[in-house]
Amino acid sequence: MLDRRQAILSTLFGTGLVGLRALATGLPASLLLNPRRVLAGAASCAASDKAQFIIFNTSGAGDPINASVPGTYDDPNIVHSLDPKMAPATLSLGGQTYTAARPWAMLPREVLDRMTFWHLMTNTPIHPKEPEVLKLMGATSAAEMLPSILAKQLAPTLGTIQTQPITIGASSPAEALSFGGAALPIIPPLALKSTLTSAPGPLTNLQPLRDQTLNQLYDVYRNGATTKQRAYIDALVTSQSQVRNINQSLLDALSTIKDNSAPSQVIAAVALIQMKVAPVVSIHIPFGGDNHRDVRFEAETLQTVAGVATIGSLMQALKTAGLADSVSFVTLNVFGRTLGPGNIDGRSHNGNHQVSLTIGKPFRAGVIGGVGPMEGDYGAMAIDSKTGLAWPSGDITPVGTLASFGRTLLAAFGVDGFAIDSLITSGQVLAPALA
Amino acid sequence: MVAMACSKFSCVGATVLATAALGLGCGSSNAPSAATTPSVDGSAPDGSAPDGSARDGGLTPFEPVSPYTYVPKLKNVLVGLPATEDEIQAVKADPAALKTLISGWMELPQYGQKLMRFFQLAFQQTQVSVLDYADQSYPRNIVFNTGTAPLLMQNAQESFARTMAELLVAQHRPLTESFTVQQFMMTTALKELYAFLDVWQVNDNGTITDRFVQAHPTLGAIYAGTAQGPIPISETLDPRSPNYMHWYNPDAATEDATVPGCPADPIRYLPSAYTLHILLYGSLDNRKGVGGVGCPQLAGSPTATQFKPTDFTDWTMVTVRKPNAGESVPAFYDLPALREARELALNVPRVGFFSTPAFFANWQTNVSNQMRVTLNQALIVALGSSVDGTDATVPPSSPPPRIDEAHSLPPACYSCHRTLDPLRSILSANYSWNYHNQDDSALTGQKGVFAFRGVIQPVNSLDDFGRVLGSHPLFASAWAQKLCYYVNSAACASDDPEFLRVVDAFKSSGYHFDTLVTELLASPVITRASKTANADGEGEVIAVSRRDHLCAALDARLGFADVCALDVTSRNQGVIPSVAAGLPSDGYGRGSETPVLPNAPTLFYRAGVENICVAAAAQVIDVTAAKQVPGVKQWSSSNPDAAIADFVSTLMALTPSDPRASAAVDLLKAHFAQAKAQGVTASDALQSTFVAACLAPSSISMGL
Repeated sequence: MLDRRQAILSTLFGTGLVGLRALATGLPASLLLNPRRVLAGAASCAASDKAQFIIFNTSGAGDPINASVPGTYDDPNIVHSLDPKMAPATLSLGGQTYTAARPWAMLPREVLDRMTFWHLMTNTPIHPKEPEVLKLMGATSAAEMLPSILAKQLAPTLGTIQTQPITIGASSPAEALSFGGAALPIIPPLALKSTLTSAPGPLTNLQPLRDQTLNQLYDVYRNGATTKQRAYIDALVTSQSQVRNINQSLLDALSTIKDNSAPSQVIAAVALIQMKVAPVVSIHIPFGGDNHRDVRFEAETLQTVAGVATIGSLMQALKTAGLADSVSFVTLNVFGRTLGPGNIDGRSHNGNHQVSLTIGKPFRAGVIGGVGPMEGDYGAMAIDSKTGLAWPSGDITPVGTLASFGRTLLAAFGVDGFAIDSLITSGQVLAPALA
Repeated sequence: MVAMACSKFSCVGATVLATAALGLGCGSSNAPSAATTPSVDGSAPDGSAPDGSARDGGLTPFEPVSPYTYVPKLKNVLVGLPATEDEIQAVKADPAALKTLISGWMELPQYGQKLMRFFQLAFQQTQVSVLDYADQSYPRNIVFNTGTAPLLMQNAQESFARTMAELLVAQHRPLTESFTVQQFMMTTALKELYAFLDVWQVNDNGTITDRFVQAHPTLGAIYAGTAQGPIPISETLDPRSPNYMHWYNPDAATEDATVPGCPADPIRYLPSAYTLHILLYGSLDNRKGVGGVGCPQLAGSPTATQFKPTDFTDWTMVTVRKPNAGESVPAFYDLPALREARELALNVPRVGFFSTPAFFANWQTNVSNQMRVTLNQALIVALGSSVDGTDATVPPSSPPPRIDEAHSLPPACYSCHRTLDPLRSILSANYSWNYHNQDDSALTGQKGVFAFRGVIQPVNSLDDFGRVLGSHPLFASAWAQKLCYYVNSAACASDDPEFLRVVDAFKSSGYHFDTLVTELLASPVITRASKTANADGEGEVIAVSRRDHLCAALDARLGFADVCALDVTSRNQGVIPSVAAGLPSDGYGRGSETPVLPNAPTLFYRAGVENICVAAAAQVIDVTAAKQVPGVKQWSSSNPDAAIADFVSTLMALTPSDPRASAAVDLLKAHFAQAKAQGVTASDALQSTFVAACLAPSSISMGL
């Protein structure tokens, strides 16, 4: 197979005369110039039995999720909130017993049975690196963000109206996603219903006629337009078509939204998935935020309790909607927080340790990797790819954990290995994390 | 759902090549016709990005843009209005006429409104909420009365933009003054805010020193009461009056009425600047009631404020200076005095854009960050450049002064911190982590060193810092680039000789902003009327008309005051403000040297704008006289031809000689007729026609 591919590449895509060959073959110049990229994109649609919609939670604040999860309770020097609401509790994941803060243990059994905690290193303690972390710190091809890679692979299989992810939870433009290098808008939950709803009435009834008129107007604008202008007009045509594919009957679900809070984002995300608007919806559930000064970890406690409850609500909403088997929840933040004895009334940035969660049918419940002393605090340990366990001499180095996380997600959602290789250029698939 | 599954074998080969050639990936059942459908990755059939920008490194040859496109675009960007036939013809006859037109547009009142938004974004004074000011009023929110909080937030976000509009446009002062200015446009409410923040001292450890209490050692209490009725403020402020520090508050009698031990009228508070500050804004602080019971704070009714409505609109230029020896800072609660004040003597230094409460609210620092974010964002605003580890400029001593030892060892950290830490000392010598006076002598004694991008200079004060920024070689080109992004939604080629000519013209003018605007916008690097040396590389970008541009255009063209309710104090509600909240907007992100500009016409943009157009149609067509809003354009379905002609020239900005105009008129007339033929009223038919015009590419896009 590989030989045949190489043969195709070498036969069709030698150097030079790209424009002439594009004319001669009818193939786009972009394909001739960068066949691997185009081939990867076209060839790697996710397998239909594994493809999932994704609710992707991300925070540029670097919330202290990593301070309350399984794997951080074995070392007595790691500081946790002493609030009774965050008391250590046991929970069972994949047949193993772990200790975590109480809110995690309170999640329903059916949620825990699909929940995986990943001890990762994002390798940056800097807020503005949030976009780079979402690009797996340089490990993605064409500097694409992980949510956008997932969206590209999943959209064709899922049959979503648009390919791009939707950002509804970003707290600032710094948390916005990009797709193919282009910034994507942030659409807060409160604006969603009024944006997508076509109010019943004569003007809505006239939409088909108006679309016809607009299509004719688009043709008028194409005359004499530059190449870039024509491409933009084509994009307008596409978006008009996409709008008409929105199932208006499902928009009522957005009626209960009264603010842009995390619970409201959850309602919006489920509704958008029910409407098959996009394969990936990005939200932001606070888990303590940038809590440098957090006396007695009050904010961390309050928001962790609320955040885990929001995850529980999300899972219940998916179950109610019949989407429990077709939607996965994934988190990835810019970094985690420091854990060591000096952290009493707040935590600093920790570029060496960030904990991601995955909850979904494709995942085997458990804990991937672990945490150990590093550079005066704690960091993600190397991982043995065969077991998924933290191991000092593991074949996945701490720095390699982030890319491995990305590769494993792609594998979990049915993207084949050939495409994974081209989309994420380092790391390994962690088979122990897969159901 | 499409159940098509591509095996890794079947997707590689001739079939997929053909699929790729059509720009389609697996499972494209929802896609419209291949001829007009972007590929699965969102790129257009020609391989360009969804926003129309070039991806092919110059495969698309340069194509000049027509005056019918760039003249309306520039006028739209500057004032939101459509270009006229005369203006188009003038430029067609003589391209040099464009500069004169631009100068004329800059005289229109709409220019000031658009410029305000540009300055708010460029100086990073927006994107904040009340919560973001909590560091400065630590440990509580700065205000929380629902009536006054939005007004104060609007004031704080507009203050520096108004300052620049006054200094740069009205007084023609150089842009460099934005870094050194110690005059700020303020309302009475803002004067109160600055004065309050000056007495509410929070140091690096979060320890609060209430200078108001220190200055009034004999003050026993502050009272807020209802039963006594309104109290003349002259008595409230007079230490000899029995009503000294007694404030009328209509909520006092009922505050915490259901909490045993709390009801009291008047309510007695221990002296506190914060308690008094929020009382001015209509809120009642928490307190201990009878027996020590906790009585919660009350946000208060909108009418409970001590401010007059005009205290949030009486903008005036105020000079901020250090207090002279023995001089007291102004009493933040003396509203009559503040209303008259044109000068504030403040202890907290206020110099340039980087010292405003809004900038500080944007970029909160802490004991770990130690002002690095603030300094870095100041560099991004002033110079368009950040500390990213690539700067070869070496601070003059080794190790550099004030470098954080924790960051000095790992090489990856050191490359940034050797530059950033001496720089951030410039701010940490003056401000605490909560942006009050720095009282740590170890920090005040270390003034910092400016060593950045080729400039090394000792800095002893914030004035020095501002001057270094204004004289930095990156300054002029950085601001030209900000305008490039604002107008073209993309950077200009920074090494293009034509761009450099514009930058030189800006410098030669003494950094006059008007010169930069006219020279740049009339330049082919912006208009793309002709090829410049590096035009291919940057590509032509067509973008959606983002929120600020779209709403400003609707206001200017249809006569609305603020149809999108972008002013946070607007009472305008309904579909349009609700949709506008979700439109793509210009933004800035932490650490990012470039603005965040969503350019692509996504389905959300298309759906949202359609709903805006539908809502607008109902306000401009066949509106009964009683419901018409003064100034808002009105059209009648009894005269559809005239209305349609207006739609084309006003909304779509196509002048009669534009090759697209006559066809557009014909199509809209046909739409009107066909709509009526479907049985709807003439009014509905014309509204639908308006919506079609409102959704036309030139109505909702920049660059068509």
